Amino acid sequence: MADTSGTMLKEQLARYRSHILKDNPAGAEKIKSAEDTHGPATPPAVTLADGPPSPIMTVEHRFALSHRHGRYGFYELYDVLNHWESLSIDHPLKPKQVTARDLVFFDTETTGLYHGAGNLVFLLGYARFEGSEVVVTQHFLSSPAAEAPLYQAFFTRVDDAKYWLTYNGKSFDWPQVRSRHTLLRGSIPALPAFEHIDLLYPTRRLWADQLPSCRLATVERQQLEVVREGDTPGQMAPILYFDYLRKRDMDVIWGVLTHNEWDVLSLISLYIHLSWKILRYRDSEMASDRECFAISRWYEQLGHDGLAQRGYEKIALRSGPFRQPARLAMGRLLKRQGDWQGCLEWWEEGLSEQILPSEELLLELSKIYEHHLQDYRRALDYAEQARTVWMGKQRSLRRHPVAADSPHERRLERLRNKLAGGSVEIR
Amino acid sequence: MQPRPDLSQLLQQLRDDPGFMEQVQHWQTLPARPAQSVPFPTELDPRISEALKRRGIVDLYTHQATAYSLVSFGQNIVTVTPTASGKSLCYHLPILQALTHDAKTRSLYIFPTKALAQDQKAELVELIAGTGISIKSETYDGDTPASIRQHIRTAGNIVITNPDMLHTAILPHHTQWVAFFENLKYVVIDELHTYRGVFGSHVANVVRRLKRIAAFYGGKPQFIATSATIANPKQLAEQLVEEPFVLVDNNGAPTGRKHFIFYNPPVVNAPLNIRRSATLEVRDIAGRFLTNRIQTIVFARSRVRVEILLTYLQDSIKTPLGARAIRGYRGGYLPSERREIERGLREGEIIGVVSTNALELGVDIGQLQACVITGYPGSIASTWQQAGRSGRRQGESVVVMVGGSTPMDQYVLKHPEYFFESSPETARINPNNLIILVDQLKCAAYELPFGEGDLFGGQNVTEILDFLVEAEILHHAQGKWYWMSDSFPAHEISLRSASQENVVIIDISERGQERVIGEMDRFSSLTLLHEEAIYLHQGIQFQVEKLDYAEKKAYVREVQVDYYTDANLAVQLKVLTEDEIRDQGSSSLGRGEVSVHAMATIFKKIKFETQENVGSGPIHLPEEEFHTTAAWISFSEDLFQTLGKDEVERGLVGLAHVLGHVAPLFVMCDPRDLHVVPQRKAVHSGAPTIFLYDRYPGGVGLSEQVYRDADVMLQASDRLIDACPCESGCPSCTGVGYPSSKRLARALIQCLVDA
Repeated sequence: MADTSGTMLKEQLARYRSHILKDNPAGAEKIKSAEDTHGPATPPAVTLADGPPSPIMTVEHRFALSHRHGRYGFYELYDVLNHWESLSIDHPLKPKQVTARDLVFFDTETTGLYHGAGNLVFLLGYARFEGSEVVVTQHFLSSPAAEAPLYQAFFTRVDDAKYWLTYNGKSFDWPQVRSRHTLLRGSIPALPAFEHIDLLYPTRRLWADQLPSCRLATVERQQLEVVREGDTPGQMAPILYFDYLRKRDMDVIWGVLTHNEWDVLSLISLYIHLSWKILRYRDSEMASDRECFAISRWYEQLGHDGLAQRGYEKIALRSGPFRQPARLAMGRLLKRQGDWQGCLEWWEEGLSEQILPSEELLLELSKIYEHHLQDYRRALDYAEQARTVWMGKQRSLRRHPVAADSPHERRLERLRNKLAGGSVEIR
Repeated sequence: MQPRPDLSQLLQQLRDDPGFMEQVQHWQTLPARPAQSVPFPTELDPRISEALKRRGIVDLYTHQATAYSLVSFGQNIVTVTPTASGKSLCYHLPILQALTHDAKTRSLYIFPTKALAQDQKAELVELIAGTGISIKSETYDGDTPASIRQHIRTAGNIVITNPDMLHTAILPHHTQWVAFFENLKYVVIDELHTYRGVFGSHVANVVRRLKRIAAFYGGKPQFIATSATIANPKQLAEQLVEEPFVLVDNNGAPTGRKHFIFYNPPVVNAPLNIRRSATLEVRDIAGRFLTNRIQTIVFARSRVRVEILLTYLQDSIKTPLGARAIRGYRGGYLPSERREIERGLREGEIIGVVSTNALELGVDIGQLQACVITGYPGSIASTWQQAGRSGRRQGESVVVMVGGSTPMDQYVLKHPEYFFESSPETARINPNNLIILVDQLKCAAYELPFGEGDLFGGQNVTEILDFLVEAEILHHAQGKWYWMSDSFPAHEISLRSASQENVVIIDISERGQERVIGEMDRFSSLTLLHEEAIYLHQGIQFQVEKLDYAEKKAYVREVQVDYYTDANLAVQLKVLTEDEIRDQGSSSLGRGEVSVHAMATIFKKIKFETQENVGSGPIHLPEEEFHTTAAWISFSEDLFQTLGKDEVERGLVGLAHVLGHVAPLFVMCDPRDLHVVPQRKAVHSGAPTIFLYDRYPGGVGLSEQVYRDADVMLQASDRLIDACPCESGCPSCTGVGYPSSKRLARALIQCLVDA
């Protein structure tokens, strides 16, 4: 190949086309289908930012604080921040010493979903609170050659923000931006320093087992009452962007800008929504038992036992599907604190309500009686019940269990020995 | 009961066995060689030299000392030494020493396989621990847990990986490796000789990408390569890395005495010169070693042969450890199976292994005493590599090479001087194969945009970049070419297989327990995984029930039958360009690009013991089409008059049979990589023609050499036909079933040679 002239190489490339481009057979078709679905996007009312003409395009869109996006008006953010401020403990969703102006609700659009050096961020969108308005700013990469000025403009404008709020930004958007920053070595300012609140994780905590997926669009629909009309699906963004680059026609890309704007506005509503749930977790108007339970567990994991206990207690005393899990959780929390009696109260009471007692719970009870209260009689009683449950399970699996094979035999034997006053084996 | 004889006694028994010795064509004893050593370099950090002394290493072999000093002078080096000569110290030593001066130094070790990388890591970690120096060395491959990857990227001093991982995981994500690339000083390429053909051509481009990214972060690493014996280690290193190298070949390592036996199976049919099956002979010879508990490795050329031999040996050798003491080892097995076998060999629970050339590589399987090779492995280098599996360190060892009936095998067995005296093969790569180059340019463009005038591998690639713009994969803006596609190119490009997509083999013997047992490239699947084919895996026979060619899945079910299957592949060729032509007498030689249409036609069922045909059936699979480079020999159409139409055809078939075996000897490639097809009337000229084409689309340079050296190959073919004792053609020369094909093939050769 090295010695072939340009024309020959061209002919050769044409000949080998089917070998070389086997994985990209339908470039033209892709574009066509893109046109079919993105529809007649109506450009939002925009004002282009002032300044000298530049290869990057900055789009601004202003909203009044009274604007409702789904079930919340943006002004509620101020309320939420005040409530967080008055909460004396730390929480991952609680920004410290901030005003609304210090938050940036951030989302990107990229040319692919793979992480990697070839994945380009072509739209940086974010919403910020400015006085009586919420301003959505979008920096659009009108040519891949314009990355340096794009990040220059972006970093300059978000430099003063203290908190960035994203949806899956910790593992997607931010690493992408960092990767681009590395590639533009030296030609742009240093990465801004900020605290990062990723709303995907709390969303999973609260609703993972309830929602068909944790995609932002799903959460919006089911939790935020946000209705999108004529939305361009996010996965179309790369193809539309490639199409834009070839045609240089903004009409192709407006749909993606609108989609991104919806995303960042939804981040505001989602943050308000999640915050109210967490702050008012025991208010039945605000949070369901399922949510209250999930939030209480979160508090427990954060080390706020008191808040967790109050949440569990509320649900444990109500009827409903979370009554039982809350009692178990309550017992576990007390056991961890060494309050054996308190723990037994919750668990034994829980046990009396169960039609089919759980093997694990019986075992836990047996352990408390044996190791902490030295009541071997009761310990043996619970261990025997555990074995009975095990036998039942085996039978329902159509096996033919032999009691001596149960995993509880050693415990039972040890307890019988202890009761008989025989040699006491310390575990 | 008599005590079991040891290897020397067993060898004496063989010498005293006239039946055995009658078939021995050549018995060469390679003498033991003492070590040549020099003291440690004076500047070597005492922590390192003390650690080596504790491991029993009190000085350096001459080649290790040379390597050390050249590397410290900043030279790229390639060392060539046989197996078990302590080659890894050639790179460990200078790199550890460099780390004592600058703890930030990063090095990249590239091994061709994951298994080798694991093996070397274990050795390196032990060595480092002995020095007490704080050096982090880790493998970075598909098995590395996600939890430590980040740490390796930011803090690993020595990162051990394979080319595939470099290609798909490290280079495309270089922005996560900033600290690594900024401080990358050394790149070690171990087992350099394995980087040949398609794989080597791809890896050369991966090295181009690596250097491009290192340069982006301001680095220019030094390269240290090690190679088994090949003819052109320095040239290969320079082609692969595109920088000057210094060759280190003053091997100072000792070797034990080795017996090399060329064994030719007895003739069972004199008129046809048919010899007893090499497979059966190998079974008997390996059996003699194995029953005496001599750890033996048996090499076979194909997957099918491995499985057949395995079945034979497991049935006939009764060991206290049962059939599990003899195991198969080949490419199609899953990594976990392979690891288990490697461990079994090292620990001695396994006494015999039947392998394809997968074990040519330096995986440390400990010290085997005997090696039995079924058929000439196709190259001198490959044969020495396989032979090196026995007696790696010291002590007596034996290699028995059992010849097959093919012309190539017979040529080598009867010309031991060809093997022992001529230089081993040249490893050839063609990094600028258009398909490979374009694929790799995609990956490179993904990693960093190309600028105007940027070179790739020293050449201007603007034409190709523009082609990719036109194909809507790149975008050109302000003098730069940017990746502009939502795909991840490295995932779609395999460094190793010609066809990108492998067929997955699924065992459906047990309902509800379906499982994947292996995979195979698509081209091979045409003839090995067609419906009703018998597929062997770990000695177990499976019948292919369904080949879903579109979905690339083969469904197989366990069976027990006494036959294997053999499929025919019909090939059609069309010449697309004639790049070079030269007339020679009434004939001509040509070279250029061709399109190949290959289609599997029928298969035969062949009984194990008797090799007889016990049934056949059609194969219904689509035609595979590809473009490649070829060389061809065209004869004059006048021959139809002077010789006769049928005669010309018989001569072509016979000569093609010989060339298919002889040409690879001279081109020095695997016979499977060079296909030979005779055509009575070539489409482009109407003349009788023999084509020799490169198996990989676009070619890796084989046909160019066929074109250049055609005369030598034809003369060698003529000598081979002449020397063959058969009457009118046999499997060892022009093939069977074509009366007077020997005479006709020689007549064709005369047309060219007499010119």
